[in-house]
Amino acid sequence: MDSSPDRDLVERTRRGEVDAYGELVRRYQTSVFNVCYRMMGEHQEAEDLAQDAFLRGYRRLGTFDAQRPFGPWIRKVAANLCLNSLQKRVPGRLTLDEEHDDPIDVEQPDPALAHERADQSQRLRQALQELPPHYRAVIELRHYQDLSYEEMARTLRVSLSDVKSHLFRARRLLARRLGSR
Amino acid sequence: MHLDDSTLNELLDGRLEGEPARQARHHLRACRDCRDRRDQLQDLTASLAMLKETPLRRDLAQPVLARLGPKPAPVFLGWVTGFEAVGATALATYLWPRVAEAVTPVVNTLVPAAVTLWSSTVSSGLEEVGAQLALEIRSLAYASDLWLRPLTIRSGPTWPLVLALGTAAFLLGVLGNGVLLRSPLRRV
Repeated sequence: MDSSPDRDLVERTRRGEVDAYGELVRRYQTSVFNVCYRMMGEHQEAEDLAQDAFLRGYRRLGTFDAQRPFGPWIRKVAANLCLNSLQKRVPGRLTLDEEHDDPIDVEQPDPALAHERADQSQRLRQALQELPPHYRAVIELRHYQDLSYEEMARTLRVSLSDVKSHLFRARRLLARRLGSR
Repeated sequence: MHLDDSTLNELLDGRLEGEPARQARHHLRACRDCRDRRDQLQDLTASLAMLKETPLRRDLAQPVLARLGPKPAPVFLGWVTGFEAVGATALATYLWPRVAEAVTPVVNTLVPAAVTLWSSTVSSGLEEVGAQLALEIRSLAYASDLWLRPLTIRSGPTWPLVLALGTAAFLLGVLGNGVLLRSPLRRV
């Protein structure tokens, strides 16, 4: 395990050390995969898109500012890639793993509560999958990547007013769907 | 009058400041409907935050590295290729007068003869083409000789220079191609 800071790994990758990029992939693969999993709802598809995100990140490394942290940047790349993929999907197609991998909290002393939380997570994932692509993207960027409205607008290349309307509608839809289950 | 969605969401996201934020909070204290809507949004935020990370089943680094394109060529490879090209050009320019010297009599003899043979059946105009070709070869040899004249070692034999240029071009070729061939093997 290479303990170099991300910035060094980025610089080494730019100099042609492919293994340095491998270390960056290892560091951020779980978080990038989870971005894709939340947006796509399918484990295999999420894995494939996570790989694609790292490939796109490698090719665009020249445009990345090495002074900034690598993690948030590659997660934004992943979110955009998932959004593109969702927009290309056949409308109305809902893909969701039959069995979700939401881990049961082993630290939770009450097994019933642990199972209830796992069920809750599954319901939430289901509700996320029922949102239109842009709504899923804003929920991902706001709630999981903690981006400001302005950063979301830049990342998704939409206007600030679109970001707001998508986010507010997405939340309303989610709240309604979760409340009715 | 209730708080609109935009105000409520922006208040929750910490984007509402100053007087508008104060007024919204004041309204929330007095309005149960708006409080319920705010609570619903807060519950949603809490639920979203509760979603745990799903573990990855396999390491993605290996498949990602396997799909990466060829390694960017090292900078020095460009220099090697450049030197190689210069060496090969110098060698070819140096040798050209000698080659032309040997080739010209052959061209002068064979081409007109071949053209004469052809022109008897095809066209007499080809004869001029053959003569022109021989002339071009001679003029190129002359230009090359003129360019290299200052470099030519008149007092001694020229073969060491030819040998040195040839060896340099050969070594650069081996080195350059060796690096180029090694590159794909190093891909992960």
